[in-house]
This record gives sequence, C-alpha cells and structure tokens, in this order.
Amino acid sequence: MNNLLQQLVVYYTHKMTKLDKKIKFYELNASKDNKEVIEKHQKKIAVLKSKVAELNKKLSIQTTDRIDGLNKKLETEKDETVKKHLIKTIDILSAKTQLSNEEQHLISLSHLTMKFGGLKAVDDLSFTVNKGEIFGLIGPNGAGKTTVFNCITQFYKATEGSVYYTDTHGDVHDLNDFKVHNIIDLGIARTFQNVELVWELSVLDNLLVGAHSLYTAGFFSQLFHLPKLRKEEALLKQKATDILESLGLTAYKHVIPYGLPYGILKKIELARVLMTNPKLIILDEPAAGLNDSETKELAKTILDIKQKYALTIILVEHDMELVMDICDRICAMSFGQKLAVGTPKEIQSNKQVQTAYLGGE
Amino acid sequence: MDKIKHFIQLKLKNPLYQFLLFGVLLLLLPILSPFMSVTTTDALAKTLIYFIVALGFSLLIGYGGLASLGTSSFIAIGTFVAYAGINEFELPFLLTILLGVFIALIFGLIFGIVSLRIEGMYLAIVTLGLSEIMIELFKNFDRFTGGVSGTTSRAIEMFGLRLTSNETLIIVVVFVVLAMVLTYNLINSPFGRALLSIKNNDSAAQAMGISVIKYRLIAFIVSTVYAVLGGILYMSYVKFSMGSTWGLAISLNILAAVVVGGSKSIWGVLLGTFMIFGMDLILFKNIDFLSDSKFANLSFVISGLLIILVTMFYPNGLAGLINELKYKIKRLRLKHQAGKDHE
Repeated sequence: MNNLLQQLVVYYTHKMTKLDKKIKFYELNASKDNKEVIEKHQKKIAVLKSKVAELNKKLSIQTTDRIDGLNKKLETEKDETVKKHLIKTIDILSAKTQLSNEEQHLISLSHLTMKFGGLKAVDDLSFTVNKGEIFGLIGPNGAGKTTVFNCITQFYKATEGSVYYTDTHGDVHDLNDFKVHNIIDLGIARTFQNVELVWELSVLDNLLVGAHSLYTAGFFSQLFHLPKLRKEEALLKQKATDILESLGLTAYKHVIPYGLPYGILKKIELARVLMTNPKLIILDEPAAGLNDSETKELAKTILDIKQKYALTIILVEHDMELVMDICDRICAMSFGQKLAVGTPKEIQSNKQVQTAYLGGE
Repeated sequence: MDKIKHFIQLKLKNPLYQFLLFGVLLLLLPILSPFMSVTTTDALAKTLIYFIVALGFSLLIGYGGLASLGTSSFIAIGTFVAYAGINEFELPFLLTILLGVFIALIFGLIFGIVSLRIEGMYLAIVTLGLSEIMIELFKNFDRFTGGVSGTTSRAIEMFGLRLTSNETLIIVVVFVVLAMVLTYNLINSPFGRALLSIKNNDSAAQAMGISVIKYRLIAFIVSTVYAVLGGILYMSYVKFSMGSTWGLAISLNILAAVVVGGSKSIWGVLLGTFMIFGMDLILFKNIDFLSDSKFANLSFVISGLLIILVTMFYPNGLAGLINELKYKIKRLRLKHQAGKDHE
C-alpha cells in the first residue's frame, strides 16, 4: 500500500493544507495586495488538486488490479483462514473507491484491528460516520474505545485495516499514511481521557499551542518577531479570546491551569480543540469526573459548538444519559468487537448490548 | 517631568527595553576598565560570553527539557573556527561569525540526529560521549586546533582597525544584547510554546500538530549556534584556546548556571552564570577579607551548596525564588494597606 504514488498524494495534501492556511491568514487581514496573493495561492491549490486527482485515478486503477488479483487467488484458495483474510483485504481495498463517491461520508473504519502482542484490543471493527453527526462509542471498561481513538489519530498504527477520511477537498485518504502530527492539518482534533494541558503556560497560551498548526510564520519571522508573526499572533489571540468568552472561561484567561477545577480544565481542553479549525473532533470521555449539573452543561456546550462550527463529533462516554441525549448514532463495543451500531433507541433495546453491560442472564 | 518618568517606567516594563538598557549599562565596562583590575575585567567578559552560551542552553533544558552535556565541545568548535577564520583565512570578523553559524548548523544537525531519539539521562550520556570524541579529535587534528598545546589568535580586525580588548568587549556586549533579545523572541513565539508543550506533554503536543523530533532538533541547533558564537567571542577576547580544557567541567558548569539561575528566565540565567563563573574573580577577589588564600575555593563551596539547595527547594531557580519574594512583599503591602483602611 505504501508506494510512491501514495506518498506523493500525502505530500500534495500537506502542501494544499499549508496553502489553505496561508489563504485563511491573508483573508483575515484583507487588503488590496493580499487579493493577488490569495489568487496566486488558489491557483496553486487548483494545480495541486488536479495532480492529486490524477494520482488518485492511477491509484484506483492499481487497487482495482490488486483486487482482481486477489479475487483470482480467492477462487483457487482452499484454506478457510487464508480465504477469510483475502476477503477482508479485498473489502478494505474496495471501500476506498466506494467512499470517494459518497458525499455524506466523513470518516470510516474498515476492518480495523489493533493487536498488542497477543491481545486484540480492537478486533475487526468497522463503522461509518457521516458529516454533521454526533457519533457515540460505548462499551464496558477495556472494550478498546480509546484504542480506536488512538488508531484514528495515529498514535497507534493499526495492525490491520484502514481509517478512511474525506478531507475538505473531497479526497478520501487512508489516515494510516499520515503521521501523528499531520492529522490535525486534515481537520481532526482530539481531547484526552485525562486532561492533557501544558501546565507551565497560561490558559491563553495553551489555546495558542492548540493553534500551532495554523501559524504560517517561519522560523526567522519567529526569531526576529517580524510583522507577519505579530499580525498572526494578534489574530489568533483574538480568536482565542472569542472562544474563551463563548465557553465562559474569560476569567481564567491569564491563569496557569494547574489546580483549576476539573470541569474547567475539561472546558479549556475543549476550547483548545476548537482553536485548531477542526472538521471532526474526537472527545475521549468528556464527562468523566464531572457532576450532574456540569454534565448537563457540557451536553449543551457540545450541541452548541457543533452547530456553531459545523462540526462532526465522535465521543467515548460512560455517562449513558449524556450519550443517549446528544448522540445521533451509537456504536457499542465489547472486548474490541462491534456489538451493534444504531440510533440510541435501537442500542437501548439491543439484547447483546444489554448482556454486555448487565452481564449474561 | 512626571510624564517622562511615567513614560520611562512604562517602557521599562517591556523586556526588550530592559535588555537594551542592560546593554547600555554594560557599555560602561570598557570605559571603566582602566579603573578595574585586569582579572576583574577578564572575569566579567568571560561571564558575559558564557552567558550567551547559557542562554542557548536554557532554551534546550528549560523549554525543551533536554539535558545535553556536549556544550563545551561546541564552544571549542567556536574557538577553533575563530582561529581559522581570523588567522588562517584572514576573513573579516562578521564573515567568521557567519562561518561559525554555518558550522554550528552542521554540527548541531549531526549531534542532534544522533542523540535526540533518546531522552533524559541517556541523552546526557550520549552527548557526553560525543563531546569526548570531539576533544580527542581536537587533540589529534592540529591543523586549526594546535593539538595538545592549543592555539593563540591574533586580535580581530573590523572596519580595517585592529581592535583592542576593550573594543572587543563592546562587540561582546552587542552580542549579549542580541542573544537576549532573540531568546526572548523565540520563547514568546509558537516555537517556544511548542517546545514547552513537548516538555510537558508530548502526546498532547503531537495531537496539536507539533512534530516532536523537528522542534527538538531546532532547539538543539539553536543552542549549538549560541555555543559556537560564544566560542568565537571567547577566542576574540581571550585569544587562546586549548582542546583539552573544553571538557566535561565546563558543560557541567553551564548546566549548573542555568539550573541555579532558573532555566526559564533570562535574568535568572544571567544571575546563575554570574554565580558560577564570575562570583569568585569579580566579587571575592576584590574584597580584602575574602581574597585571602584561606578562602581560595570558597566560590566552589558556595556554588556547590547553591546547586544542592536550589534543586531541592526551588526548582525554578533563583529567579523563581526572587519572584516568590516579590509576590510575598506585594501581599504584605496589600495586607498592610487593608489594615490601614480598616482603621
């Protein structure tokens, strides 16, 4: 899979996201000269887009060839386990071409498997999340929910299977081709189960760390604090202030987060995620450690930000009330395997899910 | 008059103006030097040069959380680059500096790529090993290093003039201010925040799009550039350098200076460098009571004690201690005020 064409696509995608960022910066401080620059960048993007399209065409021809080859192998193969494996591979490969035609698709797992030594933390998991959905991932402790998140954000490289993601330009990428720190450029941002902030920086600076991927100023403009950096810094500070205000955190703006109440820390992390201009945010137990009223407030906040920033949200949560309240669809997992996917009502009435949670009868 | 006073006070809140003011004060040194002993002037100049190196190192340890013990070998490289540039190739001084930066980039890159995949104590060990290798190389490839006996450099030339040590001191001061300003800029830009977030929490940093290895490498290279510049200035002021003197002791002293002073504060690093490198020669030797040979090693005792006390009780160094005191005084004053109002 990891051939030269694939790497080229990834490279061009990076270039495009960089140009996108530049355009956004110039759009924000609009003046006459900037229009030309923006047009220039847009032309560049168009060129890159056509290149990517061409490469994708070549790649899809390759994959169809590979699928054909595998199909032939499948016909002659007799061993059941090998046969199963072949079918899976074919499925993974063909998923990509299918998905590039689906407009609503945002992210999907295709036969994702993650092994740690002999332990299968995630076993052959597949689901699809559409644009604008709030998708819940539930399951008992140790079901592998966080591992799924880590596989999506590439903290772990999946042992098998793919994570397909449709970027803003409409191209479908296998996230396994990207590095951890490049995932954010595609518009995927995450929070952590235990709040992971920078304890030596103020809340505002923490948000600016979140905006790190949006900076276009190079090392030298940072070294000499050239006007470009100052302008960017001012713009992003304004953005951070706005976000803090909308989440009701203005009072903590210049405070070091260390020692603040847990609910506030969770909100700061949410604010940091919003700084990154995300398309998809992944929340790992957003309500853990919160009391009832805080949880209710959180539910409202999540719905609000989803509306305001046109987000898609995937969340892991143990608080069933919250999950059933705000999620459009839910995937229930147990021991790394998928139990069921459906609307909250369907999940509630699902027998398998009930046994997994309440124990067998 | 009040307006001017207010204006100056306002400007002095900005660290950049503080650095400039500090530079202006330092420029008094060459003027005052005829009234000071040669040892004192020398010690002050060396302190300033080591301060530049320590600033680069504070970026590495205070912000990047990386403890390297290879600093001294980079200073050594700087001194030999200066020797080669000034005496062998007869380059203008600024060109020598550029050459130094270029060589620092190369060495920083090589050292960084070799050592930055590991962290903590192991990084210190690897860089220590690398720097020992460098010292052996200095001893044996004596084209520019003078081998075991070291090299002596001419005075540097600038604008067609051969500079005296006093004039060289001015150049040192200029570079000190430049280093302070650039360090301040780096700390207060995305780069500094990225480094801090890697030090605190590398998974969060990665999730926010910060490439760990890239930023560590840049920090390492920047600190190398500072060290090499320090070396060049050392050679132009002291005019003598010997490979074997640049051993572990200097690296450890710089580490100590940064830790004692406060690795995240520019002024703290200055204080630390003064404590470790300058206190003995500048302060004690000028006080009659202490200049007695009985107290010859007093400064080592004090700096040793300081290192122990600071690392145990004030992880933010002397700068942290001073900040805490400031805060306490402020609170006391407020309390006092409140008490008065109450009456």
